[in-house]
Amino acid sequence: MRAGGSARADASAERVRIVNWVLLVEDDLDHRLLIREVVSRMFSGVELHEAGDAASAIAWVRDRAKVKGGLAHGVVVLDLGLPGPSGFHFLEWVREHDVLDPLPVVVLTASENPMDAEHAFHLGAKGYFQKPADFRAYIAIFERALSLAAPGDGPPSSDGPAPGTG
Amino acid sequence: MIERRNPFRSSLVILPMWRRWLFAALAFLSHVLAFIPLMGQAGVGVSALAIFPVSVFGWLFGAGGGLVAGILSVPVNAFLLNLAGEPGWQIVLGGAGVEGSALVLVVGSVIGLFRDFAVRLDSHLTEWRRAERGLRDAEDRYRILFQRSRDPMYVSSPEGRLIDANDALLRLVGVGRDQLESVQVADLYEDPADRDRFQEQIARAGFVQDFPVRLKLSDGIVRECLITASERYGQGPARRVVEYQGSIRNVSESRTLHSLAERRTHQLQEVVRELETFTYSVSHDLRTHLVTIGGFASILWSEYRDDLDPKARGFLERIVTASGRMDVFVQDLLNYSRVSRAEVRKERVELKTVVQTALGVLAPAISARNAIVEVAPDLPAVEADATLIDRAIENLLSNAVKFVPADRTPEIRIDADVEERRVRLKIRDNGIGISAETVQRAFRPFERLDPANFSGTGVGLTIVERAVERMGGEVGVRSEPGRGSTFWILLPSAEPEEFNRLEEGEA
Repeated sequence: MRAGGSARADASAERVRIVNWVLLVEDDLDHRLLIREVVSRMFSGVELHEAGDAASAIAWVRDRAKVKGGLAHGVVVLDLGLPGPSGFHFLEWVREHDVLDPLPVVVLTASENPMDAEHAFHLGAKGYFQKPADFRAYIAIFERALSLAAPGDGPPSSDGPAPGTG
Repeated sequence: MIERRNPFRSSLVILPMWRRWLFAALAFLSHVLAFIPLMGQAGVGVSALAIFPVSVFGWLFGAGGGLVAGILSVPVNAFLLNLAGEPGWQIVLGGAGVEGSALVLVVGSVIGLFRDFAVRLDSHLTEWRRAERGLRDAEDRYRILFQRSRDPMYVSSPEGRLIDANDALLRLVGVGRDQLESVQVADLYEDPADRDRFQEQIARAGFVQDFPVRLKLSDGIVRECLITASERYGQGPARRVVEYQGSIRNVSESRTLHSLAERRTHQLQEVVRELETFTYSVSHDLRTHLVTIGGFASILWSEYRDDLDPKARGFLERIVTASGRMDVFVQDLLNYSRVSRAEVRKERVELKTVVQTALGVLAPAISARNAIVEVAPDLPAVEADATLIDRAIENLLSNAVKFVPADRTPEIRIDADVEERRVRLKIRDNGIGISAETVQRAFRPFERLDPANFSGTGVGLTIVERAVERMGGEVGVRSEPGRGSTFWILLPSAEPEEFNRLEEGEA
C-alpha cells in the first residue's frame, strides 16, 4: 500500500509543484500530527508550518510578508475552534490587510456547520472542509486546498493552479 | 270561585246561542201563560208584564235584541188582550197604551245596552288580565335567568350606583344584597380612568363588548374582567339614558392559565434548545476524537498493514471499520441537530433542482445498485428552506436505493401532485416496504426496522420528519411490505397566484 500512496503522491506532484508552503493553524496536537503525516507522505516538497492559535498564525504571516513574494505559492489551512481568538478572528485579520489579499485560507473543522461555513465564506475563506476520519480522504481535501494557493509573482505560475479533483 | 282560580276566564256568563233562545222562549211563554189568569185580577195593566220577556231578550241578545223584543211586544200584547175579550189594538194604540209600550221598548233597549257594555268591558278586562299575567311570567323568567346566571350581571345608574345585581355579581364584588345600594361602581375600578374610558365608549357606541378592566374587589384582590354592557333609554321623547345593563366575565383565571401555559411552553422550548445544543457540542467533540482515531487507524491500515501479523491486522481492521461506522453515526447526529437548529428561511425552491442535486450526491450508490430512477418531467416549485428540503429528499432517495433486497434492481419513481395550494412529492420504491405495525416506529430516532439486513443509524427518517416539520409541511408513507413504499412530503406550493386566478375564474 506504501507503493500505492507514493503513486498518488506522484500524481499530485503536478499541482503540488506550484505550492511551496502550507500554514496549518490547529490547536489539537493529534490532528497536527495526522496532517503532518498526510502532507509528508502525499505532498512531498511542501513546507508545512504550524501555528497553535490565531495570534501566532498572524505573527507568522506578518513575518512571512516581510519577504517579497513570501506569501505566494502558499495556503493557510485553518481550524475554527482555537484557544483564544477563533479562526474567524484570523479570517477577519486577513481580510483587513489588503496586502495579504492573495493569501488563500481554507477552513478545516471537526464538524461542519452551515452557519459557520456561511460566515467563513463571508469573511473570505476560499474553502470549507470537514476533517475526515480516514487519512486517505485528506488527500482529496488537500488537493483542493493546495489548488487554491496564490500564484504570486514567483516562477511557475502563469498558467494558474490546476483544477482540483473535487 | 272558578274565576278566582283562573283569572283569564270571564266573570260574565255568556251562554251559547241555543240556550239563549231557550231562555228567551221560556220568558215569553211564562209571560203568555201568566197573562190570561192575571188579566182577571189586574185588568189591562197586566200588559206591562211584557217588560219581563223584553228585559230577558235585551240581557241575552244585547241592545238590538231588546229593541226588537220591545217592538214585537206591542202586537203580542194586543193579541193577548183580544184573547182576553178586550179590544187589544185600541188599548195598545191609545193613550196610556202607547206610553206603556214605549217604556217597555226603552227598558229592553237600555238593558241590552248595559249588556253590550258589560260584555265589552269584560273582554277588555280579560285581555288586560292576560297581558298582566304574561308580563309577570316574563318578569319571572328573566329574573330567574338573571339571578341564576353564573356570569355576574348588573344594572347601574349613570351616576354610578348599582340598581340591581345578580348573586354572581354580589359574590364577585363581595357584598350582601342589602348593601347593594351602597356600592359605588367607581370604587370597583382599580384605575378610575378605566371607568371614564368605559363611559366614553358606551356614550359613543351605545354599548361596549369585552371591555377589559381591572376590578378591585372587596377582598383587595384585583381581577381582570371583561365587561359587556349597553345603555337603556327612558320611554320619554328625550330618550335619556336611564341605566346601564351589563355582564362581567372574570378572566383572571383563564389569563393565569394562559400565561402559565405560555411560560411552560417557553421553558420546554428552552430545554429542547439546550438539548439540541448539547447534542451538537457532544457530536462535535466526539468527532474531534474520531478524527484522531480513524485518521491514525487508517494510516496504520494503509501504510503499515503488511508489517503486522494476521491477528493484529484483524484487530486493526475492526478499529478502522468501527470508526467508519461511528463516523456515519456521529455525522447523522450532527445532521439531525443541524436540521433542528438551523434557521428556517422559506423561499421558492424548484423540486426539479432539489431532486437532481440529491441524485447527484447519491450517484455512487445509484450506479452501485444499477438502480433505475424515473423523475416526472414537471416537478413544481414549493415554498421551502433550501437546505432542509435538500436534507429531506436526499435521505428519502438514499433510503429508496438502500432498502431494496440485494437480488432486486431498485426502481425509483419520483413525481408530484398539486393539491389545493400544496404540493405532494412522492418517492416510490420497490424495496422491502414497512408493515403497518412498524410504520409509526419508522420515523423515531435510532429506530432500525431491519438491522440484520441493512446497515444504518436509524436517524435518516427522523431527519426527514424534522426537516419537513420545521418547514411547516407533512411527511408520510404508504407501504406494501415486500413490494415497496411510497414516501410523500407535503409542502406549500410556490405558485399561490395561479390558484387565486383559478378561483377567481370559477367565481
